[in-house]
Amino acid sequence: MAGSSAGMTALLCKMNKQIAIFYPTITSHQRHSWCVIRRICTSVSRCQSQAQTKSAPQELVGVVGLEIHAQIHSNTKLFSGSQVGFQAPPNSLVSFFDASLPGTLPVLNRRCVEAAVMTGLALNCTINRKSLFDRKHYFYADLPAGYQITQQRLPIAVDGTLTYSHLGGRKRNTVVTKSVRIKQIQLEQDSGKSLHDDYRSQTLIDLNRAGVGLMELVMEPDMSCGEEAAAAVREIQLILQALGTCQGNMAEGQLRVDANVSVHRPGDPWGIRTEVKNINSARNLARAIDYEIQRQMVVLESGGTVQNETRSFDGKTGHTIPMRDKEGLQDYRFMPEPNLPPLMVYESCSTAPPGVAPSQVVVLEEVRERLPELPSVRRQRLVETYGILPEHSFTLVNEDGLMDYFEAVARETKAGPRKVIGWVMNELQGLLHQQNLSVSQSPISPQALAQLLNLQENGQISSSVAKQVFQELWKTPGKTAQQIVKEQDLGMVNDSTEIHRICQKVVDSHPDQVQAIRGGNKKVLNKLMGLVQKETKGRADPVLIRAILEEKTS
Amino acid sequence: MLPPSTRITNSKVPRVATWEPVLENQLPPPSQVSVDLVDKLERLALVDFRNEEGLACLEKAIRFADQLHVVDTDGIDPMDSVLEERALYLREDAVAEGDCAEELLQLSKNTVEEYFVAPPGNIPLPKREERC
Repeated sequence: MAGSSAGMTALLCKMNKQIAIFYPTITSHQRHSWCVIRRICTSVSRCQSQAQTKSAPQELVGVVGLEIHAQIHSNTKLFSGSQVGFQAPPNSLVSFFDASLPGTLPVLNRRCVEAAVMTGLALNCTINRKSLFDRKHYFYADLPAGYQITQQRLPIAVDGTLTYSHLGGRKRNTVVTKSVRIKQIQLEQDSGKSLHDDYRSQTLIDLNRAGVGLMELVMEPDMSCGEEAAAAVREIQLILQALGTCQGNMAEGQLRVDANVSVHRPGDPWGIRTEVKNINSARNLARAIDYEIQRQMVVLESGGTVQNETRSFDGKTGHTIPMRDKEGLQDYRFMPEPNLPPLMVYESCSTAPPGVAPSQVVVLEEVRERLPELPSVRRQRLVETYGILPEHSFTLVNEDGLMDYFEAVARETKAGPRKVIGWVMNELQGLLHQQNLSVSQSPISPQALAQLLNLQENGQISSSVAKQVFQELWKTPGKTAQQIVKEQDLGMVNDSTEIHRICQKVVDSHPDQVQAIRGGNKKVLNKLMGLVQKETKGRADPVLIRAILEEKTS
Repeated sequence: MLPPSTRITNSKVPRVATWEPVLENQLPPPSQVSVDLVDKLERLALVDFRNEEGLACLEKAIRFADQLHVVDTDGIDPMDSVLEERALYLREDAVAEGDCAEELLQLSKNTVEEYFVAPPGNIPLPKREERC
């Protein structure tokens, strides 16, 4: 991939020179747009080629940091007892505190503290035994109090690492593992929802979401492209879903990601960064980041400067547009939240203050014990239990429901796990992707696939017939594999005299090919095999056919 | 004179005033409030105080707070509130409030189909020159 991009670069450089010769009046700015094409071609390979080739000394690289807001999966909100729900009638899940009526006070939800601590432990963070709440002031209609209660000075967890992988390499089938540092995890309130009605020049405010607990995960800018960021977010989603602390659905707004993007030359101080918002899926995250890196590179290469601004991502065009609303640098006037004393968590029951009810203390030991199996551990377990490759284990855990499907098939069939993996990865995934279905929508149940594989293992059908039957099962999910084999008479032809007869027929009718084989060209044998398979409608064992043909043509 | 039985024994309030006025020379030099700072404060707090009275009030308030510099705070962590040693109460995660949309909507003059109505986005404050 590095080689081809260098070739393309050389070609376009040549084109650049020719343009300058033939069109001397074109300004350098217009020629720079051609440079853009070169950059776009090579940016995708850049992530991978950075490791392989020694990039030319003054190449710009992207620097990406993420801020993730994960909505805590709890029954009630962070500081009030109103329900957390999605798509409820407007303003029906709002308490007096959420509407910031005077005289109301925040009361912290224990479940949210446990969720934040669990997430911190899963991400190898140091949990601060004492953390503080602050007010962050800004005016916006969906923030009724005029401030948001957050944890700016001393958050609940700091200094963690997220290890994530993505499929890289030339064929995208090698697991590449990277890690990114987590700066801090803090608890904060969500704001309400505003619906803009430009027609009547007003905004409609729904406070159902105001006050819901959020965990803000701030990451250090250790990533360099959209693909890495998307993989990191996917890993976070899997971890949070495994912990049960967040349902991680980006489309429903349970997981919101903002990207801070800048470019610089390695070794130089960081460039000016822009913040990209309004991203609603991991795929759009990668697109937005890659576009923004490109845009900043073009700006810098044509001599401009990048503005420190907030930009919004437009999913339809794939571009980022500056957001009008932000005026200059915001001063949030942070101040300690006077209505909440410090939040204390204790290492073990023995260090907790004596005489306090257990419901009033959060103990790290207990939370640690309740940690479920994390995705990385699960992947390792699959590799060890079933002897499959890490790439396959990665895909199994990554796709929703695929691991359960695989394990169900492996349990019920006598075929080895490696064979099952082949079927799940190639045949099943192939059709699912083609028809854009999720694993739960697959017309073939794990039991049906297991039965099919058993037929093959028992020698009742050949491997090529098995594939045919799979396609049939997909179209007619009501039938079993056995039925289809019977109806279409696809059972294995085991009669060796019959096979011998067919092989002899093919050999006799193709003397030229036989001559070529005897002359040393073994590849022609495959053609003869193909002909025999056609005759037997794929029902004979390929290994046997090859042996017989080889015997006959020796 | 109050009868002895109604007099509070062991009161923390001293019988005689112990207030010591802070002299001008004990305070650090007065800080200037620049026009830019006033503009920024107006923008953040959305309070109009550009007139002479407003500025005088602000400067007096800063001077009053300067008295804190007289206290020696070396090696002492600042407090956030006088109740910061109390235990933070943790609430159980059970639904106990909400479902009062009608009551809340009655508080607002302008509502549309159970939504509160607000002006579109943030209307930016006009620049300093335009506001004077």
